[in-house]
Amino acid sequence: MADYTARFRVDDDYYVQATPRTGSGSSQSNAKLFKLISAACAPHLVEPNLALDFEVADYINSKKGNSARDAAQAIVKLINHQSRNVSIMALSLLDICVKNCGYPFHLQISRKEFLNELVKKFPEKPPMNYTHTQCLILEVLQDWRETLCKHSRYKDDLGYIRDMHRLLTYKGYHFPEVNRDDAAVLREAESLKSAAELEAEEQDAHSAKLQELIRSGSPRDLQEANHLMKIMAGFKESKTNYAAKAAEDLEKIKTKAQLLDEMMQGHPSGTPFKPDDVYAEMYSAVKAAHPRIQKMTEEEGQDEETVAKLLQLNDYLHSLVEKFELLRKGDFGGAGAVNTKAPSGSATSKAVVSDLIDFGDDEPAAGGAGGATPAGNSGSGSGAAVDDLLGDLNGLSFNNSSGFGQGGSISLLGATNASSAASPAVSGASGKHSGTPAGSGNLFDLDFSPSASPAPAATPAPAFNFSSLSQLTANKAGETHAVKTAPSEDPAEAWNFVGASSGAAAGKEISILQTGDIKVSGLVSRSGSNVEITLQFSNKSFTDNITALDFKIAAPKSVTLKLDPASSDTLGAASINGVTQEAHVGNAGDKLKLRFKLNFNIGGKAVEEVGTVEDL
Amino acid sequence: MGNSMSKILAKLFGSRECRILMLGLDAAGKTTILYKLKLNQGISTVPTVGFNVEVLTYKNIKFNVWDVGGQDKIRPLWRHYFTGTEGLIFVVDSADRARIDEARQELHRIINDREMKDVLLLVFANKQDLKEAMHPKEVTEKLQLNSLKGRTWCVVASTAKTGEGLVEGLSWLSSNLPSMDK
Repeated sequence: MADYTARFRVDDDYYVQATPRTGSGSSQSNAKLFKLISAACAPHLVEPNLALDFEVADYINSKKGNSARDAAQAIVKLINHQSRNVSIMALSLLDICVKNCGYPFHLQISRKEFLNELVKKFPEKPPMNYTHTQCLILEVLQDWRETLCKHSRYKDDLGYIRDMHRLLTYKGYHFPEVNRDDAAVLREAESLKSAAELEAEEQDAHSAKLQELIRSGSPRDLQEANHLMKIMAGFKESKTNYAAKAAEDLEKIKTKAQLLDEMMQGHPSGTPFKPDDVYAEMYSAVKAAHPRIQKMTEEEGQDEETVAKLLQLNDYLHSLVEKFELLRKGDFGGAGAVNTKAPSGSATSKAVVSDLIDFGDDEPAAGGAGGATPAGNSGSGSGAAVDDLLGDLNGLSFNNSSGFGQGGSISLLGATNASSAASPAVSGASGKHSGTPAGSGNLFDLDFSPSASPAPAATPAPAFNFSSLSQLTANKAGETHAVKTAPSEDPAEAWNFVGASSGAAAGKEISILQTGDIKVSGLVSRSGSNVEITLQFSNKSFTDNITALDFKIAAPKSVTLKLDPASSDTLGAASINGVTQEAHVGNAGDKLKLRFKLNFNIGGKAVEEVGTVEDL
Repeated sequence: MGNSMSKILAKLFGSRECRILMLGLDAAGKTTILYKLKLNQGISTVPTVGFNVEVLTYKNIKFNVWDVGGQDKIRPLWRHYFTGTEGLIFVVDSADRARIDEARQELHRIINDREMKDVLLLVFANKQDLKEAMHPKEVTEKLQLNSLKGRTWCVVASTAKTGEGLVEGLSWLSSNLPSMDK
């Protein structure tokens, strides 16, 4: 009797039973889910009961199977409820579920039936004023389009959301702006995941999709379901290699850490440290990755090599975080003392040389020793270190010329002409000087040896001297060697030619980068799909040394790339081809395209150059 | 609209649809049974990787029969097919005594699932043409069907190649399915 009269009540307390009827499609066993949902959307609530909302989300997550679908259906039915309260509570519940139930729920909200149901109460022509419910619906649609449809790993499955958005826009509906911070939750978490976690995540997604495909039962879906089953059962290789994906993520975090390191390194001490957005983003990425890596280390207990690598990275990240904190507090001394050492081994085969702390103390010496041999038989010599020849000759000539004062040109000519006269002892001495630049006390040597310390050049006079000298000797060298090999008219070319003539047997020279400060050229030789590139760096400034030289290459994924460490990271003023670096590219197609990034410091400022090299 | 119309018509003329899931170990003969019933001819099959689905009409009932591969790698995926299933056909290779125990485990795992608690269970004791084949009674015993509580089940001897016993199985299903209006 009470039921009977309740149907005819006209006061505000009247409401229609909110419990969704369990249709034939949804199983009885989800009665608990429906009970939870109707409790979370009860009409007496004036604000969402988050505890209940999360209970629903947890229930969906724990039961899996059909619960996501049942919940989505029940919620959308409540959104269209005639009680405004119920529909708004249902929308809040929907929001919570989308944000917490992951792909299985996303798949449900992107179904055509669901979306049609969601906008069922929208009039054909947009009304003058949207109701609160309509506003919220437009908001969630915009939200999903901006986040899920762009960032989800499975965005291809969510196409109908985009279509619905487009349809409503076409009809003249306006979408409200999305609050970036709120929507950020829906962004595919950029947190680090181990291979096992990635696999589990993908398996969940596959399960949900298979279930949905089987349920919908259209011939095309069934075909896809069959295909998906093959993948899930392991008969077909899944497209993703979890280990590689995890390694790639690790690599990304490492690059971020190195970038942060570089930025902190480049921060002039003494000035107040004000982290901007870029800083903050990288810092939070590094900090967030820290505990994840620790967890991964525990999981990868048996593989010692991986653990070692992870620990190394972990230490690196830890030291970076520490340094950042110190910098922020203004403790520059303490920050400088923190030893941030990037892990040497790279998780993938890509070798990235970006060890900025290591100034390559031992490398100039090695270059000097290597340079001794070609110096002995310059022009006809064939060592790979020939490119160091010029740098060595520079050092060599000034060792001599310093004794003669202004008459250095003569001795330099002597050294070039009578190449055999450049005895190993002399070039060895030059090597020693460059190894201990500050100790020599020789101004010329200090300024022009290719591996001189980053002290800025003092006087322009020696620079002038040098340029005239180099012109002179260049002419001379061109004359003396042009007979043996290709003729060249331009004196500057002659220099290049001396450096290159013996180095690259069959290769073309390309210009990679030319700015006011630096010139980078490459000698490219190709055999089949393997390309060898010898990079040569020249300092175009006559006064300033280039320090902290760091050259990185990126190649398409199909290509294997190995970048040897540079012969030095310091390039003396006016040194031509003073630093060399070898890059080995394998599996290159007909047209090879490489991107590069070059960082260096000159005259106290940091410079970054990026660019692309095509058609190698 | 058209959909609801056809539903009304279906109600009037007594035809109904039901979803049947056919499972069993690999090489038990599920796919052969399905196509024998569908095409009435014995076909030679390859191991099913994935599933086959066919509609069989018998006595005004449309059976949507899902035949899912039985290899051990696919078995974890069976559960995705449980939803909405009204009848389970479990196919046993009666001559494979070595794996009858494995078949029992799988069967019990399926019918203990929450979503399968109300389904009818039809067991085909298949490959009766082989002389070492177990008698249906022995299959019943080995599968421990007598221990099942509150379940409608039936074991039918069958030979998929000749089609013997298959129609009997279907007619048992059709007569035991709950009618549309409970």
